[in-house]
Amino acid sequence: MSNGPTIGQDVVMTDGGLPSDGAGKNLKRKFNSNNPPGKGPPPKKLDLKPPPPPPPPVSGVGVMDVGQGSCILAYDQAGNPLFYYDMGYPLVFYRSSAPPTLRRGLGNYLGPCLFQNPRIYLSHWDYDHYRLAYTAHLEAAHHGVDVVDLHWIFPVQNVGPVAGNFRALFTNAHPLVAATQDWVDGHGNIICTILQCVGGDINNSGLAMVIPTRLPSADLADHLLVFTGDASFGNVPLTAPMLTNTTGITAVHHGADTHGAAANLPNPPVPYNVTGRIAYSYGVNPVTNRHPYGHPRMAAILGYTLAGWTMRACTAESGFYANDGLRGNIRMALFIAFQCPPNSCAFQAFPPAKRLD
Amino acid sequence: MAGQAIPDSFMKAFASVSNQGDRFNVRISEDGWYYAFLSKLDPHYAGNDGKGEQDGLTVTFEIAPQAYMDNAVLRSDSPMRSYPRNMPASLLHFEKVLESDLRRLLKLTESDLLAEGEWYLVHLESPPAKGIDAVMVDPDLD
Repeated sequence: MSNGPTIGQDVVMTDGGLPSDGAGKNLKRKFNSNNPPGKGPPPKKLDLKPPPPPPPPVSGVGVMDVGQGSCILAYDQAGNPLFYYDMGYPLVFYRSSAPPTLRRGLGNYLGPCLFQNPRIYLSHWDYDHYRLAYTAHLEAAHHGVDVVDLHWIFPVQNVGPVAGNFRALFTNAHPLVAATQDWVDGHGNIICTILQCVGGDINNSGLAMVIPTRLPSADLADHLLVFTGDASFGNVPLTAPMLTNTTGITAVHHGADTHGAAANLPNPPVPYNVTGRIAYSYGVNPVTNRHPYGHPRMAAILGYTLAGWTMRACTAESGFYANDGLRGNIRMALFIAFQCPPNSCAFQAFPPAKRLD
Repeated sequence: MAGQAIPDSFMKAFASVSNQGDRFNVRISEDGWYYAFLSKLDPHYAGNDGKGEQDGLTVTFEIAPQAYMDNAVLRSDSPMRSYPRNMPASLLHFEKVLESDLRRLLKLTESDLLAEGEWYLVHLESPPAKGIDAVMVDPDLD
């Protein structure tokens, strides 16, 4: 073992001198930042791979548990809310299916996430697809504060006096009059694409939503989430890439089987074993276990399953008609922490079992 | 620019004219007639397992008193540029109703006349009047 000093100890230099001529020249050659070409071995060719593509603007979405209704919130790569696709709440007759944190007057109301004023796209003018925003407005008015003047994009449809009262509240609301519209970020990346549905009734003549994101989240390739609200896929003018590159959907109309709801579905891509991810958003009365409107229908579930949409989660329970109260929000795509302040909204908790990533 | 305060008597006259509309601005119709917008029309199924057969319809109308709608909305010939605020709107809900009963009551002779997005005129009375049982609620209730 050496008796010399070690790192961290005081040392004393006791001898020295120039290196041998060969060693000195060699060192100079090796430690020169401007080695002339042709001297020394040729530089190794670097095996440069192209950098991975930048992630899409949307990291993932939450299919929120609002009871018998529909509410989807998309987040950016930092976990900030970007936009809603629907902001629904149960009709008053089915409000017991809503979680307590969304029910005004129950004492633990938190309400929807309005952090950074997310934009709202409305699929169609059905109470259970827009009412949560009105509920938030009522709660704000009750406390004497101004409601955020949310930026709405909505379909042009006939509405009744209840929806008319809601519509009259918002000044920053704009109808979609084109067949399709992209929302693009400052770098030219598509945040989402809105498609005008082509059916005849209210459910099938609204707006569908297409979101580029990474699902499966471990994959570097972008795929698409396609949400249609209550519109059957046959009434959504999906392009060929949308039909072949979609890895995540929501069950049409809360799992209904009317108007061909579970037909004309996009095909989950082959590289993923033709296995797609599907979220079912519906409500259950926690006392009677009654499913409003009989959603979801077994015939529809069979249709999705046969088409390959087999990785699934339900907002209201652990499985179809389990009636076990294991409810919660469903996270699709990347699972990251949210940036909204703690306890500022009802949407911050996602049960671990409700992940479709 | 010179100005002059509006005399109180004029202000009172304007307010008086304006207030004449207040009697229409209530949810309950004096004569029981309402305009009804068919907002939701869904199948009702037997059982609670997702497999039962359809045994009726679940129907929700958005309603407002006929007198209000006639005076505040329909009387003007000009197109409505924005929705009136705070319309006296309510929800009329049938948890389960037979389609044939609803058609008969609404005097609908063609099948496609019962559809979401259509307007109807309905008359409501308190029980035990003869008709189809429903429930009428304040949509802001929670």
